[in-house]
Amino acid sequence: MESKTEINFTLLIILGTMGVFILISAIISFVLLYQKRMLANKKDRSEMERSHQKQLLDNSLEIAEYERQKIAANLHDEIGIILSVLKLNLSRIKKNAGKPEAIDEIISESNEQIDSSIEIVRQIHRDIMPPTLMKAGFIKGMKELCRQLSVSSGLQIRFNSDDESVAMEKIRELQLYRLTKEVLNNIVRHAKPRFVEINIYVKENRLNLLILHNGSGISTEEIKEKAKISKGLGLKSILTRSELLNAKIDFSILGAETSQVKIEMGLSE
Amino acid sequence: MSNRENFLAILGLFSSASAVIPLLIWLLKYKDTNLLFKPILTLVITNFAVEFYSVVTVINFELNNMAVFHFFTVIEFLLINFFYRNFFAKFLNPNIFLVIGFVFILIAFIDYEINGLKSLNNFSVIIECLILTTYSLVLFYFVIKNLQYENLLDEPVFWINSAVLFYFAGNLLFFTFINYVLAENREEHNFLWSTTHTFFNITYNVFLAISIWKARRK
Repeated sequence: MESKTEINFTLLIILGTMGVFILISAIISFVLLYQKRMLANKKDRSEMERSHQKQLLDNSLEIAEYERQKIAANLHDEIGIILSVLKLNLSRIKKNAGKPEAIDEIISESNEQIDSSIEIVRQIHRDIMPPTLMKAGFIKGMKELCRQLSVSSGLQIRFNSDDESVAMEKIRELQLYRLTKEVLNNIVRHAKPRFVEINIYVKENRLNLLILHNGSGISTEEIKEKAKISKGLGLKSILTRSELLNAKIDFSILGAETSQVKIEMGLSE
Repeated sequence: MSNRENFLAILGLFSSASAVIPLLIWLLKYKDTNLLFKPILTLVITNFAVEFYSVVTVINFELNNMAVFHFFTVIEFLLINFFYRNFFAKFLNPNIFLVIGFVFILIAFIDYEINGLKSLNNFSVIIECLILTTYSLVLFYFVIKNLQYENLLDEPVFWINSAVLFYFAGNLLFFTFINYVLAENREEHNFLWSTTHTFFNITYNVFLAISIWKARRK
């Protein structure tokens, strides 16, 4: 009986120690493999993040370039032509030196051209720095945008907001304004609605902007797919601006005649 | 002495001799060592001195040298405890290690009061194994959690921790039950001492040597 007990203790130690050895080896191998895998994942994630940031930067630069081209085109096509006409009018005045009636007509024509060019310059300025937004804040700026869009498109646009103003940095207000303007332009151009309603409210320090319309709807996934293949900058600009604002933008079809675009973002970064 | 006894004695000698490996690496590669590794270097020197003393006293005088080993257990625990205190300084309150160190000294004192200084493997050794195994597992947890090292195999901390885990977790069962084996059969005791303990002791010393090598290269 005694001998059996001794063998059992020796066996217990040997087998137990072997078990512990295997366990320790497994723990160390696990630590090494896990660490290696986690580091690889971390590297992949930072690589993806870097590539995403680069994409975002490229898109921002592309949008900025597009805006510059738009301003250049406006200046060249509108102001440039008017200035050429005015130059021509000056030559005409010289030619008609002895004809006061003709000169009066040319001057009156030139005045109209100058008024028109002043209006174009104002329009360009409004596009770059919307004066109501800059002076009176985001809510009033949005109200003014709705009014202008309603006049230019003939659409019925209703604007609702719980607040008269929201506490946001000017730069964020301007970015959100441009994003909303781009979304509204797209809705007017592609969804062909008869009615648009905009609701703005602040909840838990987050601004919610809802655009409801009765035109043809689209989902966020479709927008993302279209942005990938589209050569235009409209959709890309919407997605890039929303990312730069760290805003969540959601396109959804609520019913047969109702679609919604929801923009949600923090009031501060 | 039978062939078997000779073989086991040689294995035991190898175990003691392995303490020279980390010391040699340190002597060959030593330049400057940061605070984190100072306790480990002290441990390597102390370990070598104790192994040398034990071989000399056993071979030449066949003396009971257990008192030195018991004293070394406390020194060893305090040095390794200090190493972990330095490592965990960023994550845990260093006073925890101070308290654990004092508690261990107290346990060792009670142990030697109860069992005497000439007995083999008192319960303080088992407690030492349990605490150091826990430290080592917690360190691995922090390594995984914080991902602070690019290549773990190049880190001295990894090798020191693996050495501690292998030696103290590996010998836990051995230290717990060896007294029962010794009471019944001295040959079996010698066999286990020369195989199980030798294996983990050599692994421990080799891993410590690698850690010193890596620390120097860094």
